[in-house]
Amino acid sequence: VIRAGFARGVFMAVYCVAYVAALRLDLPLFRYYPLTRSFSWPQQHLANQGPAMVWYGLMATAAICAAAVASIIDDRLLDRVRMYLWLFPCLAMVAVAYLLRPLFA
Amino acid sequence: MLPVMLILHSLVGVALLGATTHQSVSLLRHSARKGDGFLQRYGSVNQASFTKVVVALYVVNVVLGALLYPRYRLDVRIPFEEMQLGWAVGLFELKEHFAGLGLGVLPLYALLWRGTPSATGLRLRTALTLTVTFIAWWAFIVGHVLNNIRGLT
Repeated sequence: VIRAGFARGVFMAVYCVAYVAALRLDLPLFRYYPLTRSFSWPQQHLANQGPAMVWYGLMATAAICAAAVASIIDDRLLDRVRMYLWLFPCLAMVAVAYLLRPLFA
Repeated sequence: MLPVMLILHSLVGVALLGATTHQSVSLLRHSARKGDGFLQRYGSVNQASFTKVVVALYVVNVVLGALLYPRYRLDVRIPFEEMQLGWAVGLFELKEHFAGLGLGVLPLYALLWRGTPSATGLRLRTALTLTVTFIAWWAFIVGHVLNNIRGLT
């Protein structure tokens, strides 16, 4: 099913891991400040710019990491765990919910 | 412009719900007895034909959500925080992150619906289809609940 070329299974797995890691470590590729419509780099917190948004940056971080790994690693490496690949997005959602638990306290 | 985009976001969400739910129900009822009843006919569609529509609707809806998100961040989330509705902020955060994670699922989901997969591929395809369906339902329900508390104006 999963053919050689752009490794979509690897892409999905790395995307999910990178997304959660970027959220946990606060490493979006960039931040966006909607009040002033300005951008900043990940470790740069602009003062007096209003609230920052990281969602776009998180997706960008995850997509770049996943695309880079998926272009050099073949899906055949995942043969042994192929039937468990669906766990990556499901566990990533659980991890995100765990990281956000203070909001529900 | 904002109300138009919000309504469009909602309508695309409804279409996505319909497509993913139909595909999932059909997938789960694959071995069910054929007949002329509504459920039998509902479940006897060509499941693969939904794939491109699901991918397109999902991407369009994420783009629409991304365009609306800055207004939410300024006009809705801040009042939520002032009203100490942390759970509402949390629900929206889950919605955005689940939708973002779903984008990473789409390439493999689309590939698995192309052709006839192996037994392992079939199980993976079913699981990923249900995952996409769950995300679509979660995003839709949370979006409506939060919009009922305080919508964009």
